[in-house]
Amino acid sequence: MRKEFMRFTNLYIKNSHYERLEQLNVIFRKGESYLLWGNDHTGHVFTDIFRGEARITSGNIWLNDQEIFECSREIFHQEKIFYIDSYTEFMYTLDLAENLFLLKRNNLKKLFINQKAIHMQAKEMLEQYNLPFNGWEKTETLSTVDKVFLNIIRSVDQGAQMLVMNNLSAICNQQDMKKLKELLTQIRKEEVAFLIYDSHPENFTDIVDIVFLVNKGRIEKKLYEKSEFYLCNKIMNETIRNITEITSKIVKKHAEVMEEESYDLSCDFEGKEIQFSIFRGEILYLAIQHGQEQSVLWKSLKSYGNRKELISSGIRFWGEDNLNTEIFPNLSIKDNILLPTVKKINKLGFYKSRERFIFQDKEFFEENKFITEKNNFTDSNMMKTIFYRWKLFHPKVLVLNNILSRADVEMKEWILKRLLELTERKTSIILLESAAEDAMKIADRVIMIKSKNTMKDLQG
Amino acid sequence: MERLKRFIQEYKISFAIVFIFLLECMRGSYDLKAWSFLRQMNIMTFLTIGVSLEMMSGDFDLAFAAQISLSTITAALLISAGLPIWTACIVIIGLNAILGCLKGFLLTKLKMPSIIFTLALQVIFLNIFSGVLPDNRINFSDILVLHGNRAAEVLVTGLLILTVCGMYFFLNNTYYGKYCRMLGENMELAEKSGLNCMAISMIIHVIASLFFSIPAISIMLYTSSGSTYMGANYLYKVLAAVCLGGIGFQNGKGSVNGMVIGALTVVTMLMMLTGSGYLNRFETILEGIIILLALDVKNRTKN
Repeated sequence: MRKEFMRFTNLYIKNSHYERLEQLNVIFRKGESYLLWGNDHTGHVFTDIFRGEARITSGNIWLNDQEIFECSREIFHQEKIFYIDSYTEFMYTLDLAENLFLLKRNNLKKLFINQKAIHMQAKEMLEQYNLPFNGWEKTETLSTVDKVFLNIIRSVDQGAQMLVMNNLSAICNQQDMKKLKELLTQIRKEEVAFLIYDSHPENFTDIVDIVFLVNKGRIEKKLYEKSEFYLCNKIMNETIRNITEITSKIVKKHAEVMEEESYDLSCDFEGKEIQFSIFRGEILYLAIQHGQEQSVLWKSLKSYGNRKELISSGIRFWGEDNLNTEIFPNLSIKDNILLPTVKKINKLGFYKSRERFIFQDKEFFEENKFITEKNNFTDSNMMKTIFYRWKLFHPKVLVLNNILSRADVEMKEWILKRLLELTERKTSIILLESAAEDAMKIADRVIMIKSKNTMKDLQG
Repeated sequence: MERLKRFIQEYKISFAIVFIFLLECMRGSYDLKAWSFLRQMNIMTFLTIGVSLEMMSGDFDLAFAAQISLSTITAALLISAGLPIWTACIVIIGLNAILGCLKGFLLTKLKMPSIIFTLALQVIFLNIFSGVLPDNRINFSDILVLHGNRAAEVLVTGLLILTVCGMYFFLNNTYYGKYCRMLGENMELAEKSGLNCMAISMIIHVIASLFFSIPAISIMLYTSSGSTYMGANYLYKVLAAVCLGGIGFQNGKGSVNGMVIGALTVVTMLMMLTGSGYLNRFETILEGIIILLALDVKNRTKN
């Protein structure tokens, strides 16, 4: 059994072009070779991890039994994982042998160079890998492919654990490709693992151990049998077809469930009981003619039934009357956001260790600025804090009273965005709003409550 | 033979200037003052080597002249306060080493353009003592300590020869010599490769600053004073020598031969201008031309 040196667990990453890879669960073992095979080009995002161009949005990377929190080239470099693409730089002021042996980590204690030793070593190494170069050669005249070959053996000489190669076939003709494969076969014998992403992956099927079929930012299938590698395209197409079918089924089912899943609510208003239902992830605007009546309805909604029951069934209320009381000024903004969710994060209340992951998750949390402001609870900061709190807490139904009308234009825009995000997470929202225009803009459905309890349901 | 041809081709302008100068000396147009020439040559070569080393590591140093001035003033103040001259010389060396270390650290840490950064340092160094010394000058003795002392000239020349040999060895046979070129050519790649660029840069700047401390001591002892203008005279001349010596800015190229030839050319030109009485008139124009030359060199290296 080969020894594992790196593991991705439920990893979600995003590169600088906002391309994503999701749900990566991969184990890398010493001396094993991996090929990324994909019909689209999202597989290159995988190599971006090692290039230092990707960001972890969630999940973990374990490297030699230690978790790393950022994908930087230096970290991988230190752990002897080298990224190689067609853009390989050399120092023109140094000759080839010096380029091979000086461009690496050094403890700076060595002072004198033994030129003879360096050149002899280079000669030996070049002979070992059948590369027709001379250690004294100038590097200015080397072709791109030659530089890549030299970079590969330079990395191996530095004790590489794994080489990550990105689209090398782009610079290779047939002969170069043959040479490259020979070189990689030789390197494989030295227990160096490699991961290849290429626009022509079929070139490498005979030298790899595992093929990852990548499609739309996911590893759809892992192939371990050599006999399957030659059928990658076919398997890939079948997998995609299956996935499309499965996805469409899921979507359909989900839509059906969505239609079915709704919450029935009721409250007392002007002595009579009002009943209405709200679907999951829907924004419902309860429109009412007079402001006074709205506050009555709000109070009636809040006090209807047993409060404990309301809380246990995941219904939360937030309105202009308790805008300030929701905030604990002695706690930090972060703690204010986390407060109701603390038990969900850790049953014993040790939520601090996971806190970092929550606030680093860009999917969840766009703004870092305001949370670092120490206890600066301005109106807008308070609103932001509470919105993020709901987003994190994820209630089933959230009843909002005059929140939009309390906000200025800029803040209104911000709130509308957050409301949509909440509904994406399947929270249903009931709006009681005096700013009817804004509420209409965002509501999926409007229920008009006229005086003397006549109701009219308006769709769309 | 081929190498010699290439060598002559590379420094043809310098050779032409020296040749004209020698020819004119033989014709009797100029009075060749050998000791004065030697003294100028010593100072210029030390400074050129220091600046070239920094330039090869990718940093264009405009603060070295101010650094010399600062160290002469500091030493002169200490001597005036009763410290022995040899102790003041050690202070100069120590101060330069610290300043070099600081330069290397800040340049790598802040990643600022070296021209701007050293220009700012120059202003700081020149004005440190402006509050203490109203004339920006301090004399510590009425007698010129080293004036006409030929033994001292010979000693400094011997030191220079050793430095040139050491420099040759440093650039070709030590890791730091190679690192210096690597930093100058592509610092990003050097960093990516795992080199400790900050430590290397600091070491290189310390070595360069030690080269500056020898002319600083010489100038202080020749004039028996310290002044903010002492180094300023050498700023553009040394930069000209570096450019003429073919030292590349941000490409790591350059040789010890080039440094010495560059210094020799500039000293010869200065002697010619002094001999003809044009030095003061053309000095400022010369400075401007040299800046343009330096920018041109920089552009060419970029392209």
